[in-house]
Amino acid sequence: MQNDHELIQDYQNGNLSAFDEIVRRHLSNTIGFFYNITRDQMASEDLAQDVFYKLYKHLKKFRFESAFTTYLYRINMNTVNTWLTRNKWKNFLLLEEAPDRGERDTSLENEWTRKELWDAIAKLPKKQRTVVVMRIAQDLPYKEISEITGISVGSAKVNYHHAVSTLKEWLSDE
Amino acid sequence: MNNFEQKILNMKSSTHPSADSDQFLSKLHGRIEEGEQNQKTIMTSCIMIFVVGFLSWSQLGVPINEEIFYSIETEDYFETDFWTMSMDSLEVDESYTEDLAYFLLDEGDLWEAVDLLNELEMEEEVSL
Repeated sequence: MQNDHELIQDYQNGNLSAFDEIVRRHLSNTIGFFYNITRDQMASEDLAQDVFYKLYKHLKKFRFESAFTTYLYRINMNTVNTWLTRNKWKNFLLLEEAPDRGERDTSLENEWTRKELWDAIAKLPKKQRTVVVMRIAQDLPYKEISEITGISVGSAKVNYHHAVSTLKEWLSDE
Repeated sequence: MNNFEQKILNMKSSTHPSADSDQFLSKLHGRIEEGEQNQKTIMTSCIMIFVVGFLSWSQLGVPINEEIFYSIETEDYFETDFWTMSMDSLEVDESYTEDLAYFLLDEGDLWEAVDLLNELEMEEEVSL
């Protein structure tokens, strides 16, 4: 079985079925990543479509300097950032429906809903937002987060703790 | 790890929906095709705009040579427009020229009448 880099090499040499194989291999993980954020299968699939479409366009320029998964997580993060920003504007312009208070997860005894959490995450500074999304949605270790974002492991930890304290402050105020 | 942090980490779903990869891929290929088509359209439009823009720009400041006409006498052509057409010009027949000759003779313009008749004769000869 070919590894990711070999498949990318094949794709760069013009074998389009190698791209399909890459998609099949990483589809479930990518949709899972978005599902943890959106809790909406349709939205997750749409975001995954965006990711693989971007991948199709840019994979020909992949330079094999990092693991493919790192590259894919970067695209995932950019897509999430765009989605969060778009949602922030939608909320601001009141184009979206009022948050569904019924989705409160009583089993976790949360005082806030999932939507409130992600709205708050959307307001975080970009670096903090990136780290916290990767921890929450994908449970990635700090080392991998540092490779994806290009910051040190220490900086990733600091950003995460800042983000969590800010979220706690914001959500307990509501 | 504090209680709040644990709560947000627990928000993660333990089960993920399964996606049909074949259906997903066919949708993706459709989108790729559409994207490529759009890109071609944009490229063609840009080239068209560039060509039209360049041709317009290349004509800026070029003097318009007003002396070149395909016809020197333009009045007759203008009068053939339907709305400016002179009805007299359509009714030039023998009786009209005779009337005109009589009119000139009445007015005392003998030589004018002779010139007119000569001219008409010349025209008839040319047309024959």
